[in-house]
Amino acid sequence: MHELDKVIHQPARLKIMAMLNVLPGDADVDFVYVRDELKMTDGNLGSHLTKLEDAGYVRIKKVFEGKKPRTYLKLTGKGRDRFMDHVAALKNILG
Amino acid sequence: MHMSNDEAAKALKDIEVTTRQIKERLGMGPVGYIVMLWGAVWMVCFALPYWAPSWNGWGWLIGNSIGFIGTAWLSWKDTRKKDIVSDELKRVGKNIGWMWGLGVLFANGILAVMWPWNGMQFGAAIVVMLMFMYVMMGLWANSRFLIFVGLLVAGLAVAGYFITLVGWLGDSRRFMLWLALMCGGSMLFSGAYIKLRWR
Repeated sequence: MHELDKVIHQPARLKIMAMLNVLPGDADVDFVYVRDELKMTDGNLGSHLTKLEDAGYVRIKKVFEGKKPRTYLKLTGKGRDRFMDHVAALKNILG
Repeated sequence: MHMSNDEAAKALKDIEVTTRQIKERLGMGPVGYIVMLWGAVWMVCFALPYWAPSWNGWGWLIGNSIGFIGTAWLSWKDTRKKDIVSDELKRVGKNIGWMWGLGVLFANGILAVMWPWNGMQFGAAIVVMLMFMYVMMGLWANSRFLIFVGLLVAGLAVAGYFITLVGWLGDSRRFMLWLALMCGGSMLFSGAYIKLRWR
């Protein structure tokens, strides 16, 4: 039985998950890239990512490239499964 | 957790839109600017013989140089700023690069065996062959818009060719003007649309 996920349900997080889900499993996505694509602010994206990371759906990696700090995001296996489950549950509602 | 049909439909729509946009954008890269660049080159180079026939050869030499250097620069810039590290995407990019390289080789082969051709045949054939590449790229990058542009511009080139042959358009210089406006213009417009739509 597919279940809706409260963490993913929120519209902004749904878009973040949908975006990361499109990318192959080995893709590290730059924070700035996600922010620009989804037209979100740093703070807004950061707070949603924290919730997704706490749920274990997204892995956040902070690295230094030269002197520049960069943040990369990746959907975890659990996150991908939960997202697919959420989508299936949405489809079930529509019958 | 309860959700109404409308809410579920809206959520699925959001997912579908985001997914499609990201796929298109990742497949597109600098394509919008490249399409605009070639549209501008075609507009100028195809139109040039109408007003300055003696500049035709030089026009294409300069136009193609600007086009190829510009394409290489835009592609390099995109690779440099690429934020996504994925072997699959790199493979798609590499395959598209190979397809263009081999496509140019095949186009040269076709043109060589078709010789002698006149300016009208050459102009129409080049547009059709390049638009075939756009359609292929569209299929690869999962972009219906690129497929549409390829079919539209190739169709306009072929239609213009036959309209000129039956004498409705005038002489071959008018056909070149047709290619400049219809094909170059469509490319310029399409490139701008890609940038505006997916920016």
